[in-house]
Amino acid sequence: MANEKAILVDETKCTACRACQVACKQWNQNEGVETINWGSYENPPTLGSETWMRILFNEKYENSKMQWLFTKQQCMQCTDAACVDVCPSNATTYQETKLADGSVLKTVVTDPNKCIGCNYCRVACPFDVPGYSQKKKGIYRCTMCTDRVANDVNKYSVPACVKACAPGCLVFGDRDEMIARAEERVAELKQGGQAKARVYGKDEVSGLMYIYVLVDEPEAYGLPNDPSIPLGVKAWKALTKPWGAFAAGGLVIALVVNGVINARNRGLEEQYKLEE
Amino acid sequence: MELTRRDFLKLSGSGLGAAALVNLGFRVPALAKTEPLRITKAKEFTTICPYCAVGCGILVMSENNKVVNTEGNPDHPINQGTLCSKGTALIQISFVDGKVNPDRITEPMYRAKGASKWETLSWDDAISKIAQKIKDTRDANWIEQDDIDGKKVTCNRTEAIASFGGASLDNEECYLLVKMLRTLGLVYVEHQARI
Amino acid sequence: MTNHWNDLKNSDCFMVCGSNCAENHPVSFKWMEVAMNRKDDPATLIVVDPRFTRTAAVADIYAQNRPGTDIVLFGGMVNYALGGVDGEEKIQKEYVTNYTNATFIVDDGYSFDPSTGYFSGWDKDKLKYDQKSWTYKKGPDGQPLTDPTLADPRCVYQLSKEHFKRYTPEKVSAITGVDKDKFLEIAKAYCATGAPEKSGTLLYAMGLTQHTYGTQNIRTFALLQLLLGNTGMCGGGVNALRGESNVQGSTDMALLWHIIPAYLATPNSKKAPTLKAYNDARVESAGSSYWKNGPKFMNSLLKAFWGDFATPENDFGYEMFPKVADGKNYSHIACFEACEKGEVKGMMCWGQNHGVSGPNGNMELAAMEKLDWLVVAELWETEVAAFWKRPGVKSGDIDTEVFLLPAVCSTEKEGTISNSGRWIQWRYKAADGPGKARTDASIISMLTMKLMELYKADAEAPNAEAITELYWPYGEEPNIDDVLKELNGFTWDSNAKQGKLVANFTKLMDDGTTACGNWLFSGVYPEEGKNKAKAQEDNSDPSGLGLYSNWTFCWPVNRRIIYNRCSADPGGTPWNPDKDLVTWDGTQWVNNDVPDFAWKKDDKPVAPDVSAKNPYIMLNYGKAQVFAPGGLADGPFPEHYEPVETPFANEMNPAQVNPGIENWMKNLWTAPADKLATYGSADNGKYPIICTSYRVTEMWQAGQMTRNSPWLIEMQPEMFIEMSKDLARRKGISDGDWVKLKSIRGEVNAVAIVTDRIQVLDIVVDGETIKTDVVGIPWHYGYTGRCIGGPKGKSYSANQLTPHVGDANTMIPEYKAFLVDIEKA
Repeated sequence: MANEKAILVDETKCTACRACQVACKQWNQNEGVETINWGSYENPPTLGSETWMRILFNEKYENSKMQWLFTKQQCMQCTDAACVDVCPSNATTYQETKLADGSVLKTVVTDPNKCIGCNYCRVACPFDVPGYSQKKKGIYRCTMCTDRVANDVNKYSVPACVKACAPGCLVFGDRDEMIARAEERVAELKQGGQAKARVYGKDEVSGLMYIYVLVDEPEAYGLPNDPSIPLGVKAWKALTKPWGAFAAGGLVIALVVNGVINARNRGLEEQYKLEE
Repeated sequence: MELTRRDFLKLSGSGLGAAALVNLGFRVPALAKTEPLRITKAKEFTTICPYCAVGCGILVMSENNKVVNTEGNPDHPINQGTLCSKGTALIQISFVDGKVNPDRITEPMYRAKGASKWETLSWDDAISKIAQKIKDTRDANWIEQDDIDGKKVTCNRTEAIASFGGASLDNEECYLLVKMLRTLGLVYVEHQARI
Repeated sequence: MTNHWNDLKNSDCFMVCGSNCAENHPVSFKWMEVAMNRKDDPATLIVVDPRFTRTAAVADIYAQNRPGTDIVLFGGMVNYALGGVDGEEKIQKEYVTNYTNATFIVDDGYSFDPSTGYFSGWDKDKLKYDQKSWTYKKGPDGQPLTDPTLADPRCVYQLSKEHFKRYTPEKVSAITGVDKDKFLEIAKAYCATGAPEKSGTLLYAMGLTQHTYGTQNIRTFALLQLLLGNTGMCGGGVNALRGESNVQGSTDMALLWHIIPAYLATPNSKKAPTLKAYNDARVESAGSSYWKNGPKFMNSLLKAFWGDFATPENDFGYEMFPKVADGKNYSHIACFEACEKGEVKGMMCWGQNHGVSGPNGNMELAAMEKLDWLVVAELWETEVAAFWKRPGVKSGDIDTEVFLLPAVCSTEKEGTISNSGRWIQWRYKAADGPGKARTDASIISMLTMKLMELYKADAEAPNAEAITELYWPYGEEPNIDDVLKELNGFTWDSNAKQGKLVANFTKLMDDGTTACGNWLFSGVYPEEGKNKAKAQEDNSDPSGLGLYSNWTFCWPVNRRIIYNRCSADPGGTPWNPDKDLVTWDGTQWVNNDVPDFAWKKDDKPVAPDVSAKNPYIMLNYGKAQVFAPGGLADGPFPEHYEPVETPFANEMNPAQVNPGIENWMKNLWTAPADKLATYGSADNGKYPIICTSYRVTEMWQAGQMTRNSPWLIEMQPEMFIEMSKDLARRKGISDGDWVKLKSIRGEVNAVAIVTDRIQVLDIVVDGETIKTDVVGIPWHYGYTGRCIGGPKGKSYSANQLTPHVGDANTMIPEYKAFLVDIEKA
């Protein structure tokens, strides 16, 4: 099997300058969205059709020690992706793009022409990622800058976020190598007394294309400790896949999905996504 | 110096340069919002970031007098292609969503005494009127001599006109400015470095 | 910066204080991360800041301090380095004895009295110091007496120990609020760079300068850097992280009242009525330093201003050059006070928006209403351009005529800018500006040409020749390349448009045969066709030290690290062989950087003992000044005073505010007394919360360059205030609530960010611990543009709150520590 490409996110080096967040908009020509200050530096408050990645600002104060943990949030490009499983119209699929060095860029993509706007993918996603856009009629998410990477834009054919990153928090390369680097870094951190240091994304939902280095529980970073595809989605997949999109809107599906929604508490952010 | 993309890559010694111009024929996502390589036809210029004083190099790609992409210059020794959020947003000083930033001033404007609105005027009018005001104020408020311990000493200054700013101007512009201001006799010459 | 950005990777320890470089100079972290992740012996990052910032988030050691107490913290570190805490000296003694004035004996008349807080020479009537005792004791040859053993109780070293021993860890903790153990951890970590092979650096910005004793804040740390032998070293130095892309260049070009291009003094009618007096004074104060060449630079500058008209016979037109009145200050603060009195009638603003960035914004904007006319060259309709329609005023009441001229942005013109590391880099034009926008160069040139025309028609006008005889060959759209050549300097040739370019400033003459707009730029364009600012192809770094010497040009003479003689011991061997800027190999100097000392004469090597005596070539006697002999308004050693607005009495000495500003406080600041909540005043208690102001990474300066960019606005859409959870609870404020901040000068609304990143501080006064609240606000917002910082119709400018007082030496306003109260809006 060809090497897959992944992005190493070493959160211990992130200074939350958010160059990545703007670089994503710049390269992908996404508009700035209207926001308010809601008592945090973190903005926009959710991902959406115009915001494919953002930085989360997580504060933790324990034993008079402050930690400000920053998290790069975007589509994780899961190997076993709930959104693909749950999509009733087969709009969301895996895509593989072969690169000049023989490796493969694996992404999850949604065809706006096929998307029926049911939002099931959003509900199913363990990372709270996809957001339907009324304006753009579809689901938009991180593409890992497939167009840049496949076409070798600007010498270093890396995604825009990686190119912009000054502190060296983001690295783009073969997934195996990124994992090895992450593990090496974690060993270093542990040696330096960071007992909770860990690699995240290596095995979660069969492997993410973003490999994180964390120094605390994933939840402290706003990431699920144990991301998994909800059971309902598995059931849904078993039920619907033979019938295809035909089943969309059926009673059984509605019940299944309703269960998934109830299983997750999203609060105000939900509203924000729907409005966009 | 005007560089095409190809020239620039050659100049920067990138072996991969040529490949950048060739459609490699790989499957690119049909769903990408923009066509791949929307910058192929753009000419590339180097600039230095106008925000803080780190002095990062930025590539500015423009096509038909329109800036279509800006990103860090990978050959620049300080930032090596990286930037911060502001430098990354450089394009929006001139273009927002593909159009000239609507907040930019595009014509000389004048606000009369007590007026509540701007009106536009030509460059010729603006320069003539301003020059006359400078002259009138300067000449009417000229201090030719100071009294130093009972002795008259030529000082040739005016304290009635002040000039502020320059940190966002180029060096050459700052020099022309200081040359103009000092030869006019100004002493209230200050800029951002003080505040 | 004495050093430069890439050099950060060579450091062993970063002291970030008064700077928030992860946010305001984010790319610094490209190189700081390299040092911090070095496999062997990684660098330590220390952050001291009133708030836990994004820089603090990646720090090894963080301490929260009370705004305005940096001299106490640094003074404590100096005391620690000198062995005042544990009896063990951490200084780099060989460096200190050879390269600084530590061995110099100080005049018998000098003293500091801790029981009053004043240095010797205080004049109670004039409210200023007579500085004549702040000098060295001289021998019969007129040279300072020295004691190389450092034992003499009157030598600078012993006086330093005496002065700083009062800055005990207990005092540091009591005044700054930094826990004593945390302070000792910081002092120990930083002072480890006193080892000869180690280097540590101070990264600072406006957090240190924007105080009434800002100069002394920096002096204190600079002094520590000298004691630890960190200056002139790779990875060391005192590094001011400058905030605007060309604020280095605009300072070099002297858009400041007190200097003219390249740091020559502005002529003063009393001290320098003639060119001879001017040049003699320069030579005399230069002593042994390189400044003795000042007359060449001055005369060449005058030649560049007036060309053929400037001759030795007419003193190169010196009489026409404006001279300031002796003792009068013309800085920003002083200007607005004059403006308030109606003395200033016309004002020009070139890309500066002091409608947001000026102190006591309400007062300054009201003062502008007294102007007859205002000219603003800008990309946007800024607060300053639209001051006549700011919230709360009636346009009809304001009689100022205003011109707003459309300028192009940095990618729409060509020219050079100078970064904080003094690199002069060319920018190319990528596209035309919008509509009728023009370059500032063009606007300035059109205006000057029009003025020349007006004055030619009116030869009777005062000093008309200064304008009509200008050397101004630029036309309506100046050729920037030609202007850069003028900055570099050339031989004067009346017949040619420009003469032969000079190779560097050593070729400049005082006899009118050369013209040069800025001697420090000399070398940027050494010969035809060789514009070094455009040299942006060779990014090689043969030394591996990050010097990138072939990348553009850096002043002076492409020297990347200033004072680099000090990177080697007196014999010329580098203190650290891996940081070898210059090396004496026994017969000659082998250099990675351009030497900052006499290393070659008539093509023959100069032995190291010569330069070891004079490693600081721009200073008299060639030695760095641990003790500053004269020149500063507030003392040869730093001493702690409180901010003008503070809840506390000064615990270090009975002088409450910096004596250097007493004259301003009593006589000159016209802001009525009720506009300062000074300590001890009736109003002081009404504003119990200490407020500090700062910038965030997504916004920039007065906002005009970011508040019109949707991608940046979405990240920081509104004015905010950061406060502790404890304060928020007491005030009934929740995260996201609108809050009203009030100072004695104004009020502003902001969204509450309630956070653990600011804690209530324990400040100890007279043995009693006082819980002290600190809040912080960004100062980017205002009332014009796409984003103003909140709902329309109000101003969200932080500087509506700040005081109109400034540093004793620079008059930089005290933005970083003032008093407010807050309530839920």
